[in-house]
Amino acid sequence: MYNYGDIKLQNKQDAFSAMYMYVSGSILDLCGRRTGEGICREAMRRAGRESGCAQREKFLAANIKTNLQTLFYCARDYVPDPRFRGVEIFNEEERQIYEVHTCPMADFWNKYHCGKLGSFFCEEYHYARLLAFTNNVGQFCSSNTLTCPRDNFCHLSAFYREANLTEEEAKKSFAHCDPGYQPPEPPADVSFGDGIGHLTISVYYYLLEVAEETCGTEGISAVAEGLKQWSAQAISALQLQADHTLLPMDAEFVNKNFALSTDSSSDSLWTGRTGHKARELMQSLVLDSIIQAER
Amino acid sequence: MYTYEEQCIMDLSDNYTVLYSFLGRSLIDAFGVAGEKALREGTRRYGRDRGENSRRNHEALNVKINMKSLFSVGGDLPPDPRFRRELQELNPEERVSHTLVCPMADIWKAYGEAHIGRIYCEEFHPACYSHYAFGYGHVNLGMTLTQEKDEYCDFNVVLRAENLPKDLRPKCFAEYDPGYIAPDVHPTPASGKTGFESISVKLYYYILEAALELLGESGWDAMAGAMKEMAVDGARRARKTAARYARPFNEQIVFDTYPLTLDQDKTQLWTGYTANKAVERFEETFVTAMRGELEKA
Repeated sequence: MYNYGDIKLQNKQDAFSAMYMYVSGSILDLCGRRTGEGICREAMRRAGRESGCAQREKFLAANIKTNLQTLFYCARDYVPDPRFRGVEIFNEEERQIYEVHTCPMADFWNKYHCGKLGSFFCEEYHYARLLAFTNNVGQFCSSNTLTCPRDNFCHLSAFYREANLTEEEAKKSFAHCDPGYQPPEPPADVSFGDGIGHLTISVYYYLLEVAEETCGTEGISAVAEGLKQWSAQAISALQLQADHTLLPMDAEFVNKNFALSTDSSSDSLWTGRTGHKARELMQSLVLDSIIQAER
Repeated sequence: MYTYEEQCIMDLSDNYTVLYSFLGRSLIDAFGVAGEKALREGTRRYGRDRGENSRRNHEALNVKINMKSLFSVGGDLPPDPRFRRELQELNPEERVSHTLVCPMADIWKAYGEAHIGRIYCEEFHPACYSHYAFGYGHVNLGMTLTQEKDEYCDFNVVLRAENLPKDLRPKCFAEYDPGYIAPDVHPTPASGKTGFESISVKLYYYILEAALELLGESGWDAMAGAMKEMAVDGARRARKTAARYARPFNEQIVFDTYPLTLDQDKTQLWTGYTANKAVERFEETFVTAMRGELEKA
């Protein structure tokens, strides 16, 4: 059984899953299935690349080797929610292989019969992230995914071979290629809240950016319609979560159980996201509605 | 018991498989990571060549360049009777298949070369399948029989229509090409000898090319010994088949069971793959050693 601390994290995670499902679903509904799929896939690649590049730059600045062990276990920019259950098969600098047996994102999307939408995230985000982190040298394989009706587990593998690197890149990636290297004290993982908040903003931002690039105002409108659907679901979910924990759905509860701060203007996670009026749209269509629903 | 023809296909396949591990072992033993780099690079070049060849053949047949065509229209090799596969999905965007028995993995394991086999799996398949699909295919091959702990190969190869540029979609998917009528194709079945000879020439050629580029002539020095070992090993396999099928061990049985032909007048498959003195080096090492084995008979 999960304790209250765990449940708060799960609620935040589900808020991300819901945002992705409603916004991408609206894009497919309003921009067309084919065009919509292209928008979602490209957006997931941009979000994945952003995360991979940021991790790479962070590691290089901190003198941390950029290999798969550090990517998966060091100074992470996202911390999994307690419902993730998996088995590690290989945990090596050149190879990471694991199975995921329960995934709260897949569970959420499948519950709403939206596994196909979820599969765009699974297929594109992680692959793009690994390519960015490894300067296009690594491989990422999602051989099985829980968002696919055929599968009952995810099998995820990443490969990054010293033999495929230049000497200079190998030195940056592996301690044994850098004689005298002293590993620094690695920065801590991001907090769960900051990780899921950043992921939510990043994925939303790129969905909006690519929808606008591809379909202009109609693309923005599709994202806006998705946000309105998410807003209604988020308020309903927060009210239910509050009832289940015998707490009022007030500002404090929302802060602890929702993926985003309701005051986006003072939320540092939005820093740099000035394009496409993304923050303003989120504030007016989702966050203000939640504030109004607070008791 | 297998027929003589089936046995020859299996011998051709095994000789092709160990050609890779002999050459790979020689480079890795002599140069370590630098040798592995050459092996991986040569394997990718080889994969791209085969992907390009399949694409060219399919374009000539007017079939769409997608995953269904790649895995169902006229492959370049005959089926090896030992393979066991469980096909889970085959459509224009996806081919999902589990290989339960792979004779290539089996022979690499028997030779203690599963690690080199894994290099082949890791580099060849992505290079070949992705290049076939204009660089937009994605090969998910995290599990292979050449990798520790894995009990099957999990091929999940995808080409998403919406990830292609608009001009490529009609080439790849019928639903983006109004008026397209799929042709009724009946490609000539692949010949065992020609199929394996063609890919063996290419595999050797690209590993040699990458070795010379990355390691210089000393790369060839390492490979030369392996070429001779390959000949001795191929002769041993041919002798075994000769004995099993009550045939003499002679040049004919070597021709039937070994993918590379000793007599250059009998093959055209080196055309386009003669740079870097590839044929001369092959004759100096492999052919000389194999003829030595034949003389012993």
